[in-house]
Amino acid sequence: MSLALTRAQIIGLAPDAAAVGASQKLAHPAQWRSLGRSAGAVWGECQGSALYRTQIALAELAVQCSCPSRKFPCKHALGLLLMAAEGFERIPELPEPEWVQSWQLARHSATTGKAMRVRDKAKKPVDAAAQAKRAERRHENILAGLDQLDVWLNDLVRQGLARVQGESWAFWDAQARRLVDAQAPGLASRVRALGERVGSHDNWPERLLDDLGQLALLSHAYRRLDRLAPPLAADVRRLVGITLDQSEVLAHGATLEDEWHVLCDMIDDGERVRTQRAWLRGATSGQTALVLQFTPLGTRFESALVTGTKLPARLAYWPSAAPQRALIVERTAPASPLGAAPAGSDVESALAGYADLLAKCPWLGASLLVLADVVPLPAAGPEPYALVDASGAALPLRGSAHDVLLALSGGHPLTLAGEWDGYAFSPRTVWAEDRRVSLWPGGGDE
Amino acid sequence: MSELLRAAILGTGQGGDPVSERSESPADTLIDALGELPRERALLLRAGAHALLRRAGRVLPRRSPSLPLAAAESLRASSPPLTDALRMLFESDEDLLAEALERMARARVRLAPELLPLALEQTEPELRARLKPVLGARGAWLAAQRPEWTWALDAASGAALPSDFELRWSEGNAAERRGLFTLARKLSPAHARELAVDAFPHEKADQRAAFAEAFAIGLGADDEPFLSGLLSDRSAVVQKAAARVLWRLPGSALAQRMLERARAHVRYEPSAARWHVRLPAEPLDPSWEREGIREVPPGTRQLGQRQWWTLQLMAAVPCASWLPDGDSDPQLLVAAARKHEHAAILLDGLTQSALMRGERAWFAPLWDAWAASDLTSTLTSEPRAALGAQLTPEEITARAAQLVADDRLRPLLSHLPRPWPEALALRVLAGISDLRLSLRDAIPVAALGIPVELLPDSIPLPDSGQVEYPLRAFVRALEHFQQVAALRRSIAAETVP
Repeated sequence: MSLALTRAQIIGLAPDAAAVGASQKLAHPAQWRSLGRSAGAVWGECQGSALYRTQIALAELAVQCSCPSRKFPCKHALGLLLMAAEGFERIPELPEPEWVQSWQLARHSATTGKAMRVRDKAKKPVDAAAQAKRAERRHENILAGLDQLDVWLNDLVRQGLARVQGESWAFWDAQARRLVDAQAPGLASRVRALGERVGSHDNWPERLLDDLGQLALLSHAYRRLDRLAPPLAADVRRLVGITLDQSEVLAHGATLEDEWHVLCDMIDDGERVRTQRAWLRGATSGQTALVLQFTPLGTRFESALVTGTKLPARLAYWPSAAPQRALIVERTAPASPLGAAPAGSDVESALAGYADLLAKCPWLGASLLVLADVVPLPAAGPEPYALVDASGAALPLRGSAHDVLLALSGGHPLTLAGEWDGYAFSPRTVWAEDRRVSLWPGGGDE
Repeated sequence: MSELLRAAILGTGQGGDPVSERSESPADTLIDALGELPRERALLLRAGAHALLRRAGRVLPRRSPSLPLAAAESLRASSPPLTDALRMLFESDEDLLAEALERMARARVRLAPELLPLALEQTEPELRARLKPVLGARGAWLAAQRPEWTWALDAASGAALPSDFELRWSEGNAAERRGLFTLARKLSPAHARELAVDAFPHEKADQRAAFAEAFAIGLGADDEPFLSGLLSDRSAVVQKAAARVLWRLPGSALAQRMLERARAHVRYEPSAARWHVRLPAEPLDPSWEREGIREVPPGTRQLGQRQWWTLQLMAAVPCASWLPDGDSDPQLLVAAARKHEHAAILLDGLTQSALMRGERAWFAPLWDAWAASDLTSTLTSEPRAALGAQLTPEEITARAAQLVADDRLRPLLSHLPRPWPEALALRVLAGISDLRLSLRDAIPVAALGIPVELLPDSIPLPDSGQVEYPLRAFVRALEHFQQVAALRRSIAAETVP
């Protein structure tokens, strides 16, 4: 097995630009001692302030390093990955040293152990009566919270949205806390997001009213849960905050096996947790899937999802009328680089696809769009920066990478993957002239 | 604005007609089906349904893709490792960025498109000049998309002012305008002089003084009337700045007056190879002060006022004016200066004068004189560093052994032109490989100065965790050296012509 990552994909894994630079300096055999590879692993020792041991498990693309860096992957791991990507054959094939073997062994037992724990949990006999009672109590709590939320919403509209501009964050937070107390954390985070909307851009009152209206629709829908089709009822429960944990999804979610193409991913570092949002599309099914991964800052994601790779795997979807979020049940073969640009559509049909999903789940947030043959056009007079397809349909863009898009295009059409939320498109991955470029993350959302 | 939104912003408590909040859209029909609702609730649910409808049925404006197509490239594409390295260098390392861009230009390699916006946003003239040859056809195409980027389309020679000059000159802050004025002096001294004539009535004194100082660039006889006028500027700071520029204008009336003043107090006697110095009497002549001589010596240096005035007189006149007729070798004069009772004044004055006027023949002899003495300079904090920056590779090679043995190595090396001559580079490398601790401070400078083809693949290092200070600090510095060396080598490998 060789390393199934390209250089650009490895750079994409780097936590920051400094790590990229440092890793390039380390991507030379001269910087390493006892470099070696086996069927399952690549390893080496790198002289830093001490001698660090770095290794890669080829099947899962997992990396480990004994250095004290809080960054993940560290520069040593990135350097070793780069070397393995570019000069795999030059790394001598050797028996695995003891420290590599023991890690491989530990990884293996951890993975199987985890799977077994998940399975055990799914199998564990439950006290059905107690569980039903708890669910009933929570339902009552939520309904009471909704009554209070509706009064608060009505007050907002009675007094006028012009007034909320003067409100501090505490105004929104207090209402959000009440919803947390009512066991509806999903609604609570929607209320906090309302507070961030205020004053965020010129037409914020319109967007705020949109969001308030959709929140009111959600509270209306929860009261009629029993009259909704089960998949949509599952959506409403999830949006309110009654979430399923991974074991329940594994046990009950619809699964789909396919060759999944990882088309874009975003990494967001919160205060304590790093989140990866990766959009996948099935080569055969054409289904999209959003895989979210969370990890404490400074640790690694359980399974690396790298934009520009294809990954034969079985996914399980969270129950939904418009299934999007999924988890990886099992990888059926190692990931490998995705060759050419993915197939994309024109703007109208891409938006029609989104409208279909919205018709199934009206509270759907952002979803994956893959656009082909679109040209970025700079702002001109009242027209904002946009992506224009052959028909002339101009899709508004969000983010700060407009100039980079323009440079990558040079007036020529591009293929793009990114997120559309019904308001603006956030481009994430660009294919231009046989190259794939991930747009530098972050910055200037709306 | 829809009636629904208007009502929501003003508040339903303000009255208004609830019926007008309703339209004939399917969203309203949907909400109507829910029956009688309180006004606020109905408004919110309508708003939600409208939002959904808009998100699902977004009507997009039409635009025609009217951009011209970028031309095909004639330069090679940059490799992914080079692109990654450049992205980092743009953020962090001007020295290495300059080296990388020069190598790219020589190898006819262009920047990757995704780096072009970053490149076009640069404003520093030297960096812009280095970027121009590597922007490629795509860079030229992109530059045409924004007025503030069109500098990249200017004549490749850089002989013209950038096209955004007027805009930035009229709108820039004081520091930016000083930079622009300097640039204008470099490219078109006459144009810069016109700018100054227009601008001076409106500028503050420190800005006027800065512009006056910039006249030293591209200084010519045409500048004399304007600068002479400044000798009666309302600010003494501007007067002095203008005077000190006029000192450097050969043939100007002031330069002539300064020469007479200097000769009245300092004289070189060729037959005896001796300097004669007669310090001026106190108090300072007011006309001297108006014309650029400062009364009080700077800092805390133990230099008497009369010595200080003499030193400035020396700096005010060309070194060559001391050479006996027909003689062009400064060696004897510098050697005699070093032996003189007022050696500090003579050497310092000659050094300042030579550096200001670019009198090349004096650099190496003065460098040697400072190296051989323990005098300190009043005018230049590191006279040998300043002189060293002007030495030719041959002059540096001849002094390599002396340089490496010097205990003030770092400032000396950091000013030398890069890349260093081979003889010096090899000596420094040998010292580093021998773990000579005195070289520690110079290691970061060496990482940049040693020609890339002489950089070793690796230097065997002890484990810095296992050794004590000061060797540990040395090893740490060397680890950094190896990283910079690896980066430079990889840039060089990606830019082979």
